[in-house]
Amino acid sequence: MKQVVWWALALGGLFVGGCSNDKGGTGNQGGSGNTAGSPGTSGKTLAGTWDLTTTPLEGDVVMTTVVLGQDSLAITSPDFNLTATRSGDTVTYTDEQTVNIPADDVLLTAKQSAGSFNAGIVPFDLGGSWMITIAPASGGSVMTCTLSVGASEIDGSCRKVTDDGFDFDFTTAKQTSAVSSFGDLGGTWLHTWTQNGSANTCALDFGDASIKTCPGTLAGGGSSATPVSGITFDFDGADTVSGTLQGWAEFSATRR
Amino acid sequence: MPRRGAAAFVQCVALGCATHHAPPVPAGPFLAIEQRTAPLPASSAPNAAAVSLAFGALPPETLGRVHRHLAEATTRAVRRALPALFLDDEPAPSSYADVLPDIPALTAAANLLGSPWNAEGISVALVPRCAPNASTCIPLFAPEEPADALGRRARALAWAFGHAALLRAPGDARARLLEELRRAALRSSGTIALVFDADHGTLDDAELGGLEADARRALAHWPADAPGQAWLGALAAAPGAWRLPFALGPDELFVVPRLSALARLRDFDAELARAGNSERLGSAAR
Repeated sequence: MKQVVWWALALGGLFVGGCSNDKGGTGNQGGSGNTAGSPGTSGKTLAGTWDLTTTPLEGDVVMTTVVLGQDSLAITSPDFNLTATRSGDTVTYTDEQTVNIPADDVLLTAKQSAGSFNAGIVPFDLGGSWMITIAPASGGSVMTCTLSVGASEIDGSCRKVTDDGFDFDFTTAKQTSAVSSFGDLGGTWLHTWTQNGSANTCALDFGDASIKTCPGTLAGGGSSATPVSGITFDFDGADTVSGTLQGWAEFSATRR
Repeated sequence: MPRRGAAAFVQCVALGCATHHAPPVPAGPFLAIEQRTAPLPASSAPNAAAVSLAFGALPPETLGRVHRHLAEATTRAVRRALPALFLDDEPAPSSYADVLPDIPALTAAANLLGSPWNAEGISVALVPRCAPNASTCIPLFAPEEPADALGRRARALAWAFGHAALLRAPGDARARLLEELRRAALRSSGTIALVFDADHGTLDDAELGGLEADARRALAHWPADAPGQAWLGALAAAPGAWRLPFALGPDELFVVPRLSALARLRDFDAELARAGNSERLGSAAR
């Protein structure tokens, strides 16, 4: 379950917290040839097929392929697959947690009420409000979430329906605006993550073609971190992105 | 001068001596690229040889620092697991980086030793020379970035080689440059992962022995499913000798960027320039 959350965060959904399925949204902002980019990115979006390399942690190094499209997202690795497709105002996100065992799949379904939002080089239509359900393929909701994405504030909330889920809320308020290849995300934001009765904050900085969040890590047990802590992301404006997650894990991806 | 020799001389002067004008043969090593349809196992996994290689390219004192760091982190983990035995409230290591702060160096070293590098539809191998029947073979230290997508993809898979810089700095300048580059490699926000001044070497036996012992202790006390167990296992088995998979000249330095800095190669170049003067013999993907 959390795999869906972390992957979505890793792929640029810094602001959406655990309600990750909106990442599968499709775009009225991105896509090749549009003017999403800032001067630093020459108008290139992140759409394309990417070879992703990450810090090796265990015995087998996983080479992952990420396909970002105007209307789709597909992540293919030896251990799992994620796909997201849009049909009308609904995005369906399938997390194949165990390859070729459909019974283990988790489905995220997100219904959008559209709103104005320019995500720049991210080729997804994210703006507006979302109603989200997260459920195993076998049926029954695990979590239900709401998400609102606007140019000055991005808020979300999830509640568990069964014990498989977990409750959390977050707000992300823009502090200052800046010209950025990430469109309306450009500038600084204050992200506040609330879970189990405690709230932690994290400053986010969306630059021309880069993202930097507050130091820290949640996965290792850090008591004051948020899921978006410890992230750096750089785009060279051409065919390479790289950065860090959780303050230590490195990644790089090259567009084919 | 024999007639045939004189004629050849005249022809050479008039038309240009072909042997003098032929393009220089690129020096090795090379990346041999094969396009494959069958899936292949990936590489660059955590391994003991990569640990030793990484320590061979970091400041000598790094071995002792990591040793102490690992010992302290493991002690904190033990105290946290057994709170009843300790009155103080030791914080747990807050991240993997607390245990292995030099993970960018380990990551780069694993990639250096990862040949052949495999991914969907492609296999890339480091070779000293190109086979006559090689379908695609590109020099590692080419002056220009390969224009074709296949070459770019090969360099991305073999990223530690594919984006490294080969520098020449003679004499005292080399020693100063080495010191500055290795100091830069320790900066958390830096772009440099590894700096080699030789293609092989040996690590301090006593320091390595202590590190291995602490890695084994950490393995015993950290949860079996904790991330990084494979690297701890590699630390516990690190050999004393290390070797780069290609030969480095006596005046040369080989500098590898961090994986997280591959979209910031201009910053990498700037760090190299700030460290001191050198002749750049080659670099990939610029």
